[in-house]
Amino acid sequence: MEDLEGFEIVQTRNVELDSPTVIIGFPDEGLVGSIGVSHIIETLGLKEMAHVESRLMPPVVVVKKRRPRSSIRLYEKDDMVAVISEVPIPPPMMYPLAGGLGEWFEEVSPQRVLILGGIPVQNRMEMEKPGVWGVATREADQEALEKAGVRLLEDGFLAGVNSLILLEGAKRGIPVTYLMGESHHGYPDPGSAAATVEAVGRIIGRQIDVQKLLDTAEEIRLAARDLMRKTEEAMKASAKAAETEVPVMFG
Amino acid sequence: MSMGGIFDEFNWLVDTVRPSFDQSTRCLEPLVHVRDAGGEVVITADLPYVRKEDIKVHITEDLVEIEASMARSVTLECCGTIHSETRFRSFKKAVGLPVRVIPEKARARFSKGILEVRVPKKLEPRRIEIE
Repeated sequence: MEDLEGFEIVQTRNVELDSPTVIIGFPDEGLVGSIGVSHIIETLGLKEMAHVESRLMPPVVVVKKRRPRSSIRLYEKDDMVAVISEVPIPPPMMYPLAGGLGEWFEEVSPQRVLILGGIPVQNRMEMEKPGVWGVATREADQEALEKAGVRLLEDGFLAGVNSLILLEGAKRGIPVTYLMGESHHGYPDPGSAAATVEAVGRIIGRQIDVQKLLDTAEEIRLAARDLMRKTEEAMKASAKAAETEVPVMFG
Repeated sequence: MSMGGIFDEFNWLVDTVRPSFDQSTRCLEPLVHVRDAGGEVVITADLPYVRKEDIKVHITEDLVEIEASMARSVTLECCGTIHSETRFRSFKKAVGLPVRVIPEKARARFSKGILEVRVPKKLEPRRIEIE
């Protein structure tokens, strides 16, 4: 059990982690991370192992199967850990959550951390298969991204909790990669999530079937409407819109 | 923390519980975005389970109304304190536009479940004399 400035990972199942691969999917553009990581948990059969407690979260408890549960949970199987949230991360919690995860990364020494998110593009309606962009804290991972067909983001702005986790990785020498699927702005995008999950599969050398994700895309888009609306509000408050702006570089 | 900060957080929480459906009419509110694209306004709506021929778009100088019936009715959990299941059959939403537009020149397309309506702005430039 950890207590990191109001952020606590409470382990509910005894698991010994040995250099795990950590995959993070928080609500973000197109809900790419939430949809993608939920699909990975279901497809690969990961089981709940811990949850996050924080006084900085909205006072909301999810009740599922008669049991109160935290909205940020960790799942595990065969040294793969997935971290998801059922609610958008409130702006006051972004720094403590990123810092707390950074400390946890130092404890478990992950072989890699993959953050899944979306990057909005205006021509998404014309795309059959969206591209995936990436940023990595380690040079060797940048080469791996290119081999996996992921385009490297050269210049740009990143905002929100995912960018803070990436920065924590860079600061602490943790191999963190942020994968961003080209997505609709403001609409749940299972197609982008599928493209991003396929990229994850190529990076970790394990095929992850995305057919179910594509087959149930309309169902997912309907079910995720309210989470998308709430996420947009949180993104506005965290300057997420800056990601669509062209950066001005000097020197 | 300033009072503004407290109310900002409160508003964020309040908005998260505003329902986006009407259980009495079994009608869902679609996700809609309005974007200023220079000389025109672009309105998009996410309409899963909808066919092109089942969409109706009405537009005036300052309002767009989107109605669409779904190809099949869908059962959704309506979240509140108590989750309840309701069958929905259609989408409906009226959106106010940020500027006046020329409705006669509006054009629309529907691809992969997303409706896009583009309509030129009604520009009424008036020269101002510089004193």
